[in-house]
Amino acid sequence: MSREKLIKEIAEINRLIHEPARLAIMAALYGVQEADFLYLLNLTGLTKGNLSAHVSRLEEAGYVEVEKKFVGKKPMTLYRMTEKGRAAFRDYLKFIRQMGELGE
Amino acid sequence: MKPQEIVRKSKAMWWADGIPELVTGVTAAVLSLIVYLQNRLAGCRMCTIALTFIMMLVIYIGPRIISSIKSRTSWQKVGYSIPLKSVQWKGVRLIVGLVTLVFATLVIILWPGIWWAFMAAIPFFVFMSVWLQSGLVRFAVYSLIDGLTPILVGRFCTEHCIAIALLLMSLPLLIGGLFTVIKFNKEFGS
Repeated sequence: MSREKLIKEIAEINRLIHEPARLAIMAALYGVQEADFLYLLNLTGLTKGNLSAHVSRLEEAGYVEVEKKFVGKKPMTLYRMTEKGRAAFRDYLKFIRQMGELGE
Repeated sequence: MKPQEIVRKSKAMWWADGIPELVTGVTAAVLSLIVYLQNRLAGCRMCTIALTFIMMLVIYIGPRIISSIKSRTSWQKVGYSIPLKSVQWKGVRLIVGLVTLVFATLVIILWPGIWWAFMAAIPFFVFMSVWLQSGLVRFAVYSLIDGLTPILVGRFCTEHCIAIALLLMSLPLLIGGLFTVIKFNKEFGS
């Protein structure tokens, strides 16, 4: 691949997902049907504020949907990856794999 | 951590606390008892119908018991999650479940000599798919042991074979589940 083409491909990377904290959230949600805040907190190792901010960015992009409900008397916030989010994450992983192959 | 590793860890989390296999082990042991009683009370038609009803009830409530225990234990420590379903529609899953149940019953009634093949195939493929998805090696072990057990029982057993096979199949799940629960509680605090 030419140098120009490589630079162009790198520029096309999904920057919203490429950020490490959001990448960890996307990866955590990709493996499950739905999860709550504590689950994401444990799996990503982010702080509560950080996690909340990054999830909001992903929600704005339409990659994640949030549902607030009560389980008994306890409030629960559930996070689900949308089809758009799954497709974007799959494309991102494919791109990263291709870049890795190029680097070898 | 690489994103692929987080995905795998996320897929493994639901199985990590040992509760699913512990409940599956208890369910298999209860089913073993029901099948044994069905054989012993073969003359009593009402007993057979009642036991069949109880058997279906046990199969139905098994997954709900897992969720109920998890909500009181592991979900409070590591958070709530539901594993990704390969088939999204409830209706399709219900039809596949019913067809499998009817097929299994037909196999056992029409070809009683090969019941073990069916009983070996189900745990083998189910646990193997859990292993492939989650990377948890103990499920590969369950897959092999619970796949081989009905074959061996079918080869050497002469009486109450299905009940014996179910009981033996429940043992690795109970032992493995118990060890995993203890390990999980040590890691995340009991």
